[in-house]
Amino acid sequence: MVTSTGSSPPVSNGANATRISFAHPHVEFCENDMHECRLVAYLTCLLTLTPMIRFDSVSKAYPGTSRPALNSVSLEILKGEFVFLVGASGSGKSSFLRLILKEENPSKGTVHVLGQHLNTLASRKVPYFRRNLGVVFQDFRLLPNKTVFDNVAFTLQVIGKSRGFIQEAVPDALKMVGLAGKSNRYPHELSGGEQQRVAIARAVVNKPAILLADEPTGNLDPATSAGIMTLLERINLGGTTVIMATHDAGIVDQMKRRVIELISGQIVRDERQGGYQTSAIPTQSFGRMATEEVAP
Amino acid sequence: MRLGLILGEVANGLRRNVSMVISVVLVTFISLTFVGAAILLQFQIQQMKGYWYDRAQVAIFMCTDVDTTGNCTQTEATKAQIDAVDAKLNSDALAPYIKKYEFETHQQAYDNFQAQFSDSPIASFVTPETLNESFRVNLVNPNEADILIESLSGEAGVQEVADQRGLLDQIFAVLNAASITAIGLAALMLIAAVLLIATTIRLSAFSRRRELGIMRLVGASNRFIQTPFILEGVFAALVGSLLAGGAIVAIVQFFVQGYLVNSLQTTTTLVGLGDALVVVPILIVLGAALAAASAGVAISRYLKV
Repeated sequence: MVTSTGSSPPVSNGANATRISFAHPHVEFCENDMHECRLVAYLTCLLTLTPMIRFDSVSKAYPGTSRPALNSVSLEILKGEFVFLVGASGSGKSSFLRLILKEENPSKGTVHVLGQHLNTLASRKVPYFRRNLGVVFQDFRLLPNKTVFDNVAFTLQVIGKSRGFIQEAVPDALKMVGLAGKSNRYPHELSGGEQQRVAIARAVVNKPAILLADEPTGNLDPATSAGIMTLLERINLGGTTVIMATHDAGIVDQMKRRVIELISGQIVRDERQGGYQTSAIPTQSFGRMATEEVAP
Repeated sequence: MRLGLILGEVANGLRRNVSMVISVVLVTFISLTFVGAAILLQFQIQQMKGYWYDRAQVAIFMCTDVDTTGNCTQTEATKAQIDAVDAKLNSDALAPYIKKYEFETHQQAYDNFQAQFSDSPIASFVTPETLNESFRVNLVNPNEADILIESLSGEAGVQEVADQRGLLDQIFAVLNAASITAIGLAALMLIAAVLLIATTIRLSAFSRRRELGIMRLVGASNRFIQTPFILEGVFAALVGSLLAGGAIVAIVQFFVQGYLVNSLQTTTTLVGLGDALVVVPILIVLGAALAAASAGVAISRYLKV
């Protein structure tokens, strides 16, 4: 497991701060395992450091606008990470997610996702690339004329999965999100939280390596949101990398996961176990470098 | 599984905008009927050309007592003049172009005239002497009539060297104009049909934009996304072209063969069912191809990634 919480002994934030000098920002992850003197674990951990997503000074400018939506963004996201993407509306969160999906092409810089160089990925290969990604939206985007089961099955049907596979996978996914008994309901018969669970089931039914969530709790009350977050956490524990754009400070503060903050298209903070608000000292060289670049 | 899914989508799309589909069917029906009619007309022209050009002769009319035109001076062409023309037709210069020729006497011309105009009161006014004696020449290549005209027009006792093909060409020009008009109308209608198909498909895609968005998001291949729409357009156009094919067969069967053949009762040949059955597949392929192309272009906007 790459996440630093869990089996390794608790390391204080102060200890983390002393490791700023490491060349690779993520090596400290594996350092935690060193405390238990497990070399094998350390090495396997290093292997997982191949980033799932890598942005190299990526800029995205939409035609007709002077200010770019993303401005020279560089970052890496590793397998199994849970990343919050925070920032005001218009700070570039959605552009960031769209670049990962290759719904947009960067104006400058390179984007690598799952080992694919997205800048040069042929557009006819994009559909096959997207089958490795799951996406969840604030507005659920369910098909109103299909049942819960059919909504989830639709994903598999259109990528050509067999009927047998669908009959197995869909109930599994619905069970995982806690909707096992509601497969014959229609979306309008469900609560907002349940609809979002259907959307999540749809996103993960094909076992994607990466789950992108664009403000998945934006339309939900706090209690329901907590349920959704528990679900996303469970999906993350299964090994899926989760990237979640959100405005929900409570959730970010409570989860203590990696936080990437964008302001006007630039990364101003990239903090492990961060909160919604900028903390006084950025705990990562990577984040601090970005901060320095921002400074005029 | 996938085929069933695609066909289900097609049925859904067709049901959702029935009125547009009906208009596509009608427009393709009418336009392809015009196309078919134009093709049939061309067939007709070719058939008539084949039939008549073989029979078309170059006639060398000799002078009679009453003629003043050409080289005539109101004197009957003499035997010597006729023999001179005959010798020229047999000469090395002209013989290679001539398949056969025969001489038509006053009496033969009169008999032919009486047979042709037996119903007409004019038949009783003509006498054998007023009708020209003539050489009737069948050429090896009917296009080379000018050679005869040039070399024989100046001969003494020759009133006129006439290429009968000239008369036929006028008829063909009329038929050709009709055919071109039909093609022009068909082209206009086909443009309308193509635009209508594109609009229908856009409408259909717009009404399914949620599904399309999700399909694109979860990685449905472009082929999978566009196939139902293209099939939708092709289906509508196919219905239209089948109707047009039926119309063409019906026109040939009931109008040409049933009515024209009886009413004209001429020796000329008319297009038959065989020709109509050649036209039908052309119409079907044309309709399907146009629909597939315009639907493909229309849907491509929704496939951009």
